[in-house]
Amino acid sequence: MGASAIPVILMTALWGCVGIVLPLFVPKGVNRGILQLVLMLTAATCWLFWLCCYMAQMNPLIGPKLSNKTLLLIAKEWGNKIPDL
Amino acid sequence: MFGDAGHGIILTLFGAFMVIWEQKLMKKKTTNEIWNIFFGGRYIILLMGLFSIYTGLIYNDFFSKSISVFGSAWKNNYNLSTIMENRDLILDPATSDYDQIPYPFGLDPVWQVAENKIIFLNSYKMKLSIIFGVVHMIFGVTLSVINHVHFRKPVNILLEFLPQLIFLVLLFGYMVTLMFMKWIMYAPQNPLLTSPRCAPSVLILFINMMLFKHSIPFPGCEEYMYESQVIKFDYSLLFQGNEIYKTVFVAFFQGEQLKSRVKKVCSGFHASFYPCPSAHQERTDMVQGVKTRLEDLNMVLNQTRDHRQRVLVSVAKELHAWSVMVRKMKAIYHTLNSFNMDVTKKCLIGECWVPVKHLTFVRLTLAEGSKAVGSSIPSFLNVIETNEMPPTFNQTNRFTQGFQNLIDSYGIATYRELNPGLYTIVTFPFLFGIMFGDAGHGIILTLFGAFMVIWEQKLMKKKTTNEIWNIFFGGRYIILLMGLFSIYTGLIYNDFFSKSISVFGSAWKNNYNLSTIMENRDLILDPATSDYDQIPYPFGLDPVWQVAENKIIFLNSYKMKLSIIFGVVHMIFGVTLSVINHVHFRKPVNILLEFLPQLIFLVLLFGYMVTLMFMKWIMYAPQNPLLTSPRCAPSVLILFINMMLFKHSIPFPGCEEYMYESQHQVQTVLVLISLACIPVMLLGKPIYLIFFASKNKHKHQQVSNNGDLQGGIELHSNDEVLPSSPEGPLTCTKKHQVQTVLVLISLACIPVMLLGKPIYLIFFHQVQTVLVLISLACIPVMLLGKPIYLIFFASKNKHKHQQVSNNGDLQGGIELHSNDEVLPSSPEGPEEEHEEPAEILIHQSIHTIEYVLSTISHTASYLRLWALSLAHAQLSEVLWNMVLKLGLQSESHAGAIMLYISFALWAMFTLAILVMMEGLSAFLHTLRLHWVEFMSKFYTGTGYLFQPFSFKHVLEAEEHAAEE
Repeated sequence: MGASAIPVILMTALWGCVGIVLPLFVPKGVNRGILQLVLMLTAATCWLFWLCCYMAQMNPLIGPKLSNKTLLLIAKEWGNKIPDL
Repeated sequence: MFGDAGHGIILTLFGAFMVIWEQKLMKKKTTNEIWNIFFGGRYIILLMGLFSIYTGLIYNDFFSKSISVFGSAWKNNYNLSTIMENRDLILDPATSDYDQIPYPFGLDPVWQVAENKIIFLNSYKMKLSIIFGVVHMIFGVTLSVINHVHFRKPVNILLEFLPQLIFLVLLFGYMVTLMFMKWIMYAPQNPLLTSPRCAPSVLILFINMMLFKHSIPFPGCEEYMYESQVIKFDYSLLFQGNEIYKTVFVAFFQGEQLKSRVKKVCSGFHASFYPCPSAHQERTDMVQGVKTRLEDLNMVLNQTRDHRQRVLVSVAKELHAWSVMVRKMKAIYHTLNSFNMDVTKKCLIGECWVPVKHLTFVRLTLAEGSKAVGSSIPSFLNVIETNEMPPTFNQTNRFTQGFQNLIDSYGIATYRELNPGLYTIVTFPFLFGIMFGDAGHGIILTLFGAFMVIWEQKLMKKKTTNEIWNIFFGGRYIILLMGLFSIYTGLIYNDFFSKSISVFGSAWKNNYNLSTIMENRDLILDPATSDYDQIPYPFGLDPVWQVAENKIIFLNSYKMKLSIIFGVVHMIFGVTLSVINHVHFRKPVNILLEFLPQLIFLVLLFGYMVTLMFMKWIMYAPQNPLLTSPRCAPSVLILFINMMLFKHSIPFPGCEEYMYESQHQVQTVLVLISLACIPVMLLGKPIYLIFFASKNKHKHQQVSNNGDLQGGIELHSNDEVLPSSPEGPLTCTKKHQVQTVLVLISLACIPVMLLGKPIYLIFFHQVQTVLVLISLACIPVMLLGKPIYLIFFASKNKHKHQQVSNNGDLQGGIELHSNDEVLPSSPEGPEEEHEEPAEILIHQSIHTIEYVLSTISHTASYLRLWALSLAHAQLSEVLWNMVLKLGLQSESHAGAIMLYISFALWAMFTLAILVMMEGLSAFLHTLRLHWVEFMSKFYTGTGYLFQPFSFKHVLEAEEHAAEE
């Protein structure tokens, strides 16, 4: 299990907030039901979407194949120093 | 149209066969409908065949080959060297290449082998079809004379037939004449004016003639075939208001005799006569008189014109208000016309649908109306009960209107049916976003949507007839939401105009040293080593994948799983929604016999597959021991297929086939349970309905007869078919029952066929599984057994009761009648009750087969989410690399200008192809996913729309009609 707790908790809290807490504070009116439903469905779908993406990368079965040009560029741009340089 | 002698012969033989053995074939009566249709039309087929042979011979087409009977009229005069040097040679009809005498019967066989055959055939066959079409039409018009004569309507001949015929003959008949003239007049050996070069196109001639236009002929040619063609049809220009030019001429003549002759000639030319006195004085007087009269007339004309001007100006101010008023009045009276007169003939009664919510409002309005009119009798409103299905009225606002339209274009919801429009608000833009996942394109879409939403009021006032704009504007909230969701999915995909953004820093690091990097073109980072942080990128895809060479492999695996997961969740959601419908329509049986098996089937098979996917993501990691290492990770798809087919695949050495212990047994159980659901779906409801129906009937009979009618005998005849009553109705029921039993048996065979082999195989494999199996077999029994028993038992009990209460006189026949005739007097019962058992079964089996098969195809259908999102990402990447990169990469000064051009091109293609075209296709696919995959699970959509009387709608409809 290569997951870190912080992003999982953060994202779950964020979407949980949108999907569970926010619907409680929707102003009363004709459209209250619609807004609640929209919020809940949005939260559910977006959270699941993020989760799938996270889990797919959690335990990568393959690693990225990079061309040497890209590797050198990454070393320059992302500050990922090549050991013996 | 069928002109091919070979095919014609086949048709003729088939027709002839049916005609010759007519008697024999007629005796054999078959229920094969297609054969009956063919046989009924045997003479038609025979004649069609014969005519096809003739037309085929004329076309010289025999299985697309020509037959040269008389020898072609074309000869080759080129010598060998010319032939060898040129690939194509054209024979010249003006030289001795052509005999100048055409092939006597049908098309010259040379055309079949000619390269430019199509050009010649097109010209020939087009003319042919026009000629026969015109002749056919003229024939039709002429036939109408016979009708007119027979019905003694001479007026019609003059006023209908003649104008029609003249119109047809003068325009189209003339065109046919032109065609014949072209064939005759223009020849290759003629002088230039009538040579092929100058031959005008008949079609263009005809179009010019209709539009009073001219075309410029080739130099040396003439536009028209013969002179003075142009004056034709000028007379038809005498429209009202056009000025008529007249020529004034004075005729001098001598003697009375000539006078009468001149007059005759003049009247022959429709000239008007004016007297001319011989004395000069009289003539000047006359001129004077004419002048004063002219002046008077001019004055009158001017005054009239002024008056008309004034009236029209004053009318123009009021015209719009008047026309609106007239339209409103027309609509009101039109509606009032459909009111009914009361019995007392003193008031009118109108029936209409009113939303319950608005009842008080309508009452108030009525009261106000009658007060305003000041009538002594107030208008009042009564609510009446009715069996009619009320129209569907979904209250919408600006935001939900667009989504409701998407649903309504599939089908208006049945009254009080669950409205999927609500859920579509989120699911639609979300599924769109999965396919359209690119934050950059999403921003463009959002901006466009937001622009329309923010300036809504302003834009709404400007009414345009531009349909595309209206469509976009109608769906402005959909576009806005689609844009927002695309931004989110784009961020998760880490795709921003096909580039990634590294916010949190990639989780992958390079640990290769410089020499290794320089020596190898491609290097793979190993997830098991310190190349990978072991903690994934927190939000969205790791930016390293965007630049990786094997990006597609990773993305495919990820996006395919993603689409299956969302597809299955979407479908389960849809199936679950059907519960709401069942609860609302008070059909608890449907929940048990339809919803539950459907849900179990879906969850146990496809929900399980989704679980396997998650398990694979969690269980297999690069640093794990071999058994759960990437090397041993099984393919979920193959696992699933094997599970369905009860097959095994051989794992890599050291690996295991399954993910967890006893997975095989669990899977077998799952498959068997879901298979067991099929018979429940198939038979549960029909059986329930059939028994329920008979129960109901018994009840009804109990009510209708006071216990001394012959329930007992009726019961007999119903249950075991009385042998002693050979009347019609009885045999009818018997037939029904036999049919029902047959269908039931055959349906029962399906699970046997389905389960038989697996059971046998498993029997061979494991004893354990057998035990599970047996317990499984209990499930359908548990599911079906009790309801059937209860129903059976209940009805039997009732019969017993009836038998006790009445002594069983004799009237089986009558009873059966009432049994057969579908009781009309039970308005509260559901409609299916009246269906015949066989029909119920067939209906249900279609439904079940459709559900079972479609679950597989629907799941596969969600793969379009992956396919489209992949295509979108690839396209935008290709666009970046092929267009914008050109400008970005050049190093000289010219690169600055290049960048301008390439950016303009890139922006244009991004808008036109990636946002517009791709957006449209993603929209359509999303629509399909909702209509077919989602809504088919619970939505019937057989209602009709509530159309309230509204001046706004009336005026809009009128305006629309006026525009058209």
